[in-house]
Amino acid sequence: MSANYLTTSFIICLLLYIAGSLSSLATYFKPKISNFLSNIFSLAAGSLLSISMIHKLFTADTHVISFNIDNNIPFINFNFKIDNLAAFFLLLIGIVTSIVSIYSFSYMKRFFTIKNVGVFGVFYNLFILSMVMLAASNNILLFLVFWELMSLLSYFLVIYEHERDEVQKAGKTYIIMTYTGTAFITAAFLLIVYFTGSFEFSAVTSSLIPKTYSNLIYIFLLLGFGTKAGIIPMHIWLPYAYTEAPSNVAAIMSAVMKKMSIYGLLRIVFFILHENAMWWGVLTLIIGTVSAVFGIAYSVASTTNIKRLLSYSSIENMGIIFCGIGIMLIARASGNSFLLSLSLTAVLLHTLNHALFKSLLFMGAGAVHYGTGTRNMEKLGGLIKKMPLTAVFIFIGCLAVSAVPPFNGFASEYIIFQSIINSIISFVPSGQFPMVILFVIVAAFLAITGALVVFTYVQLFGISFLGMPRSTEAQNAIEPEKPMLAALAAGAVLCIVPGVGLKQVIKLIDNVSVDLIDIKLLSTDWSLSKFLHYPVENGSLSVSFSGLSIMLLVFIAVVSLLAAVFRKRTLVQKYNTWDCGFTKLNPRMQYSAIGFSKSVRIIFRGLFKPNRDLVITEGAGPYFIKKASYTLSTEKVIEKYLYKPFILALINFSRKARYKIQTGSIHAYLMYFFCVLILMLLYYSFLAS
Amino acid sequence: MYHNALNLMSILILISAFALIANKRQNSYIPTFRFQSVLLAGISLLVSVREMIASKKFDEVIIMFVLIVVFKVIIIPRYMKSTVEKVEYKVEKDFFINIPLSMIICCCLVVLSWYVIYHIEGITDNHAKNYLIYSFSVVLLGLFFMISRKKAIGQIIGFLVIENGMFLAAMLTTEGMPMIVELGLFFDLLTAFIIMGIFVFKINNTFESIDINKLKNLKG
Amino acid sequence: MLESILKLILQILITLLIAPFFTGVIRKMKARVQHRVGASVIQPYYDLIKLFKKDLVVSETASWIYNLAPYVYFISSVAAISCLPVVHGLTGFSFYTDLLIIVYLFVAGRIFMALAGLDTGSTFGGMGSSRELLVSALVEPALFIVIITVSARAEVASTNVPAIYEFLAGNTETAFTPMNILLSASMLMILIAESSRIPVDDPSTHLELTMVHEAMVLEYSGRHLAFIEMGSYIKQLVFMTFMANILIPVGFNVGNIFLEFGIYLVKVLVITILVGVVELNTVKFRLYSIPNFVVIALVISILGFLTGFILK
Repeated sequence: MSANYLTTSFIICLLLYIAGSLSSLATYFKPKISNFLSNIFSLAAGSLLSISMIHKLFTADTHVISFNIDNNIPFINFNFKIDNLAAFFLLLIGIVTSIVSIYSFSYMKRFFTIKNVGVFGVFYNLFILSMVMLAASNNILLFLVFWELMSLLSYFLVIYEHERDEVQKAGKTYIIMTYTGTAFITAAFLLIVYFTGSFEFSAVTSSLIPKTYSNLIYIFLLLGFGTKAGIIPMHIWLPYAYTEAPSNVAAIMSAVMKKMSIYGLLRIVFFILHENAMWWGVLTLIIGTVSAVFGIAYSVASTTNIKRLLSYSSIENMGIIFCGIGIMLIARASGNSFLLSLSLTAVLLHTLNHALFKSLLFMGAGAVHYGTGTRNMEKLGGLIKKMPLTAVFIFIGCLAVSAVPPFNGFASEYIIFQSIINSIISFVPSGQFPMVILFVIVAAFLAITGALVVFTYVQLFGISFLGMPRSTEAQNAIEPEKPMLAALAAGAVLCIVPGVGLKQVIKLIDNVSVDLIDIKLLSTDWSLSKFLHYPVENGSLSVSFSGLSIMLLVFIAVVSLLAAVFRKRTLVQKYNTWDCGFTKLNPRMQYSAIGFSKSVRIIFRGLFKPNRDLVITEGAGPYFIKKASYTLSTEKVIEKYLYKPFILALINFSRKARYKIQTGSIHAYLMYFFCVLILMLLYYSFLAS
Repeated sequence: MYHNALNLMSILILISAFALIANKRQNSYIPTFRFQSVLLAGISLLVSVREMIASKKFDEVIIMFVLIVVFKVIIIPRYMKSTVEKVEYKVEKDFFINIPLSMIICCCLVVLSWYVIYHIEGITDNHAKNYLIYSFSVVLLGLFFMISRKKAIGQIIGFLVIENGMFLAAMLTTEGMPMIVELGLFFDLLTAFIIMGIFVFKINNTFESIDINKLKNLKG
Repeated sequence: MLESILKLILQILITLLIAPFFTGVIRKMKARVQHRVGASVIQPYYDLIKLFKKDLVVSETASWIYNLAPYVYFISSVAAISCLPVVHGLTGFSFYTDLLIIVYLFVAGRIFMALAGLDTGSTFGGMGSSRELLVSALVEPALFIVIITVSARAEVASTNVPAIYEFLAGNTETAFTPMNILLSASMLMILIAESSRIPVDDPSTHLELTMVHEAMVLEYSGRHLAFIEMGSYIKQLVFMTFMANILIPVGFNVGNIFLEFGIYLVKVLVITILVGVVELNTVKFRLYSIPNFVVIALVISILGFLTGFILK
């Protein structure tokens, strides 16, 4: 395939998405056909996209796909360019959206009679299209346009079930926060354009931007992209939006749309701001660590809703990616090219892995909702018997996210920790002790984050899939249809592949990083450099993940042989779970999700401010309780102490302003126009002189 | 080998100071303190024996060893125990700052003492520097212990820990101060200890508790 | 290749053989102090044999996770110990023997055990899983700092066990540095917490208020239980071996492999006795006091790191 083919296939993709949206709209009165068309087109486009991009990345095709559409609009130049960085993110979009499209074939069925599925198809296809265009655009303004489109279209998808009040609220928070973020990004872009005078990404050079302004630009970017990524404290929209959006949309938003902020950050950090101060990295690292710890703590202990749990866990994963970016910037500032390469690999690898396992888990949550009608863990239980295949796939997702070797989550966690150790090693000889201490603290926090991830996913899987069913909904659960299972299976397989074949994946990522930093992690001979380079030796990782998998398989084989020997001699008897000699256990005696996470809530009470309320109605005497009700509430600490005062102040100000500025008199309004006009004229006359 | 052993013991003294701060109940202060004193005695024995073997004559530090064993390991803990038993005993929270936080503060204190001692010029011996860091940290930790506990027992133990830290510093960096200075210190310590012990009874009699927070009520 | 495989098999056989012994020693010690004769130190072996012969009772509520968990737990522990040779001479493969991999192998076992606790629908199981996960979450930071400290030395600069062993074999002088002492103290506490011993957990109780690990595996019987017990013994031995070989490398490189093994056994026995002494002198903590215990381990490990790298 030459570059021409790639260009052609890319344009075919775009056309397929447009065809998907149009055909879905045209057949909206026949929901079945409309849904089928919309998904088949996005599936075709997604798979075409992923195949062509994987080809481009694996063959290390240095050729840049680029094309230009001439037009007469000033500043906006329809200039598209797909280099390897863009190709990597396009690959993510392709893989995840094609899996989700398979899933949507049957997931959307529950909306057939109650909603207009045709409209969903339009937005769905256009949403994916906007992300594709965003990744491919080579013009700052074009980037902003598609960024806006992406935010807007995802907003429409989030409020798809707009009859419900929670959905409305979630959508409102989302749109406000996302526009706040966009404002910062716009400001940063305008500053870049102001100093460099160019709108093209590639033509921009950093030397024209003064130091102070590049600092300002980075802070704006961090705020803007951080809002989209859901970094704490700008995360408040995320748990609501992901919970209330349909599961397929949540999967795409969490797996791909969030990653677009990483894409934007990498694009600007490597193509425009070629130099950075050390504190950029330190700031990003600290923000990332805080997000990781807070995110996972909220995930484990502040909710019983599966989707909300998953969205908090997304915050945690973005935190880890931001940690990687922080280490990367620190490495760049200190000139350690090995660490730079390693941490960039970690960032891209975790971006890929998080996209894979989180889309799987969100689809799984959707399947549970589809099969039982509830997302509340307290009402589930015992699903492993009713939905055996779904259970297996979600279990694989849980193992991957908990970083169990040899699944993919482990691979990226491993490289993140290696880059932390490597930064400690590199900072000790130069005597930069504050940095060393910072890294040790970060390592401690990431360690507890990793352990709490295990806690979270044991809770998710254990409470909702194991034990006895806690409600009739769970009792009557049904396995979802084949397309959904197929999508889950594909997601599960993709969770294993990058873990076992880590070396190949890193080779693929190397082709991206060679674009960004001109270094390949694996094929550089590090023994010639002055850097200590542990996980890389002689052009490969010193730890072989495929070897580890084979090793584990051998162990499994030996132990199962051993077990088979004993199995012959002994009997297995089925009996009740031990009930302390009383009557048979019933589902209400099981440990609940709230109970399971109680200890975390108590130990980290500063983060939750839990409020417990136990009301007991006594019968005849204190030992004969008629009724007891236990209410638990946790406070959203960040919203209460950070956002609320600000919002209250804003409301106060507006209330006062209403009387002073918004007088209601036409003359006053005309007066304002007049004043502004005069001021602008004066400003320009000053500028001219 | 000699420095290895001293390192081990002085670090154990530091760890015992940490353990003291992590203790929740006042009964367990005394065994921890006793353990620390045993370690201190061990160090003094080691120092004196080595000195005696090296110089082949009697070394005064051995007297310190005997004194530490007699007073700090046997008499003071026993007397304290009887004091604690005599005053009222309630299991209640005895600290102002919760334990995980105070542990982290203590960690910072150790770093601070390292920082201070690192910047003192003229200490050329690396071992001496290490020992000084540990003993100084023990002193700071003792002080922190005194600050963070409510009951008078805590103040006494904290005071004794400070004393232990100073002995440790003296022993390891100078291989024993002049005898008369050490005896003076010891005498000081004993007097202070006895006075404190009497005060504990008095406080207990007056307020029916040894919570020294209640001393605030005394101001007019 | 063949040699490495033989070494690996030998390593696994040796550790399988010696692992239960140390638990027997702790039990015996405890019994003697309580003025009981106590069971013989090789009682754990008899128990295992007995359990392997017994029939199983499996809960009706349980699913395949419950049946799989003991094996996964056992395999993860064995895989972990196969990364940590008992003597320097048994170092073979190096492609998977990474300290971080050991930690994450334990994560695999822990996930399965915790899920198995929830699988039977028993209240005890849920409680045990929740507590076990909490304890291990709290211990994790200290463990990582210990690992970072032993592997971030410029001469090692690797988390790979053979590389660390090679460094230690060349530098037996480093046995009693302040860093090693502090790290060992921290590791001892991690060991106590991870192998569910007093004061974090009481392995001999069956009272719902105090159980942690035992509550989680309450439903198990027969060979399942045997695999779990074996897995726990080996997990305990992993931490002990880490302490004996990496943190206190006294007599690590004497030249004679049998003498080295003897020294290793003595060191592990001393660690066992230390665990026993702690166990005899403390009472079990309330669940919410465990953070106080664990934070000491954390602070000491941080101090160990600082003394090793900064406070020199």
